[in-house]
Amino acid sequence: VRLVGEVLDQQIVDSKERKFGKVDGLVLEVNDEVNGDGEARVAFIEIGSPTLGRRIGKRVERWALAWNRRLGVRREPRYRIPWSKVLDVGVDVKVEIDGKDEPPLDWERWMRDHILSKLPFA
Amino acid sequence: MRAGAPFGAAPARRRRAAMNLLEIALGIVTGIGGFLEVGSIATSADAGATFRFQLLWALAIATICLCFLTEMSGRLAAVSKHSLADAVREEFGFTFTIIPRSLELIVNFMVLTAELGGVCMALKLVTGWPIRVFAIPVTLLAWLLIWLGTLKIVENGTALLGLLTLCFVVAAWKHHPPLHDVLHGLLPTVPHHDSAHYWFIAISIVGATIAPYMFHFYSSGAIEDKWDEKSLGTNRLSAGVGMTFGGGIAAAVVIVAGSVFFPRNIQIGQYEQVPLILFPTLGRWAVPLFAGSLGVCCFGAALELALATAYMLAQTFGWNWDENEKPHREARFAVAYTAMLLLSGLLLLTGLDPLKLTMYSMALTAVILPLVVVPFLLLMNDEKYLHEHTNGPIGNAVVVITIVLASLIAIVTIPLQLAGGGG
Repeated sequence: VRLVGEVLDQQIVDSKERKFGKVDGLVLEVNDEVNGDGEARVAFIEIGSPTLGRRIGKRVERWALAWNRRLGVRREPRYRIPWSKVLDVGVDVKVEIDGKDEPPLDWERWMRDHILSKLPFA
Repeated sequence: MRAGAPFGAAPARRRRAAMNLLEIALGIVTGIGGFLEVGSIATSADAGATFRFQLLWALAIATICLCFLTEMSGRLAAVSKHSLADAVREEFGFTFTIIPRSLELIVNFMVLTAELGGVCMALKLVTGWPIRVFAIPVTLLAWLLIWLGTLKIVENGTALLGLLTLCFVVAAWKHHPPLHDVLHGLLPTVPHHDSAHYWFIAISIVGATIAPYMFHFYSSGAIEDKWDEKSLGTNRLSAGVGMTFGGGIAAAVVIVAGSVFFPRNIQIGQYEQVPLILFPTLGRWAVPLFAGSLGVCCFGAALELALATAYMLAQTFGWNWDENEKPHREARFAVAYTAMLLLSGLLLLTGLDPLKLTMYSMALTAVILPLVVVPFLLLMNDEKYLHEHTNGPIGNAVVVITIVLASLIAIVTIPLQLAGGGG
């Protein structure tokens, strides 16, 4: 079991060394049947503005969800990475996922296709 | 002040000694040529014109504090492999980090506008055309240079051209200022007149010297250049020596303004007056040299500010960031600096008074400094990040006392200054 404080808010790096977002939230599971000790384990890492918003307050979370819906760029406002995909926790959290087409990079793609490509000398 | 290019790249073992010397030299040149920017020129000139040499102490304390903080930014990155914004979010969490980062975003936007305004003002001094004419071309040129990924070249170029600012040292020398009076100015004293304005300039000097964006810029540069523990000696030397020389140039501006404007009781109300401080010593070279210094320094600072803001946002939200990378691989980072520059350029078009904007953004910087610097210092004392390279007691003490006092004085003084008509 990793300490929550060690992983939360760390940089996530995907299998291609791409910066994939930060650990915006953690989903814990308490599994009494396996351990019998009620110990919490990290089940998922969450990336997304509603997850971040929730840490400030419920209202900010709702606001983030509403904006996500309205803008319609990000397919899945709360993206979950199962803990089993985490390869290493050091300076960054390395995950065994190719982030290229995953929702956390939806905005990155959108800005590239809709803004950067229209600028001169692109 | 400006951050200056973090010098050199990953060291090659063979040419290590020679490389180190070159890196240190470049670091020092950057410290000298890159020190002045719109804020330090305006605050130093105002200090000299209104209080002769009496405010030199504020510049001295701020410069010493800056030496420590610059060294710390490099050490944090070299040892922990974290930039400042990365480490603060990781250690103190998102709900805390959003406070200093939002404040910095606002201040950076104001200062970036002031720097672009400084470049336009320099062009105005030479051509006589109004600021609005230059606002958009200057902004576009700054954007283009970052966009084309020529930062390192531009950085070193503006640092070298920034040696033009040595003209202030020449002018100060020619005035033969009484050494006793200069040294006396290094001791903090209470003013005999205009005390609200005195303290306002004092904290504006602190805000102009210790600019928070440079910590982001410097630590990000150190990570891009893959610094490690071996870089610490070079880092210490170039931060210490470079910034000290840089502070010396700002002191020269105070001395020149104090020798020319103070005896004649001339108050600085407009940028157009400032080049006149060089007139008695440099004659017809006064305006071109002043305009050149102002233009080059502000342009370099504007590039750094736009990038530093993009670094800060990228590291807070986990986007790709790397100036050496092609823009399309880091779209959000590129959009961030593009938007910053665009908004600042548009704000300039409204025709606001660039000198007032500069003075108030410097004072505001002093207000927010503790929120940026205190978490930074806590990190620098944390063995989890710095291992055996944590801060010593002197660095901690100098920085805490300077920052907290400056912020408190700023909170008291800014309302007084606003009530008194400003400027």
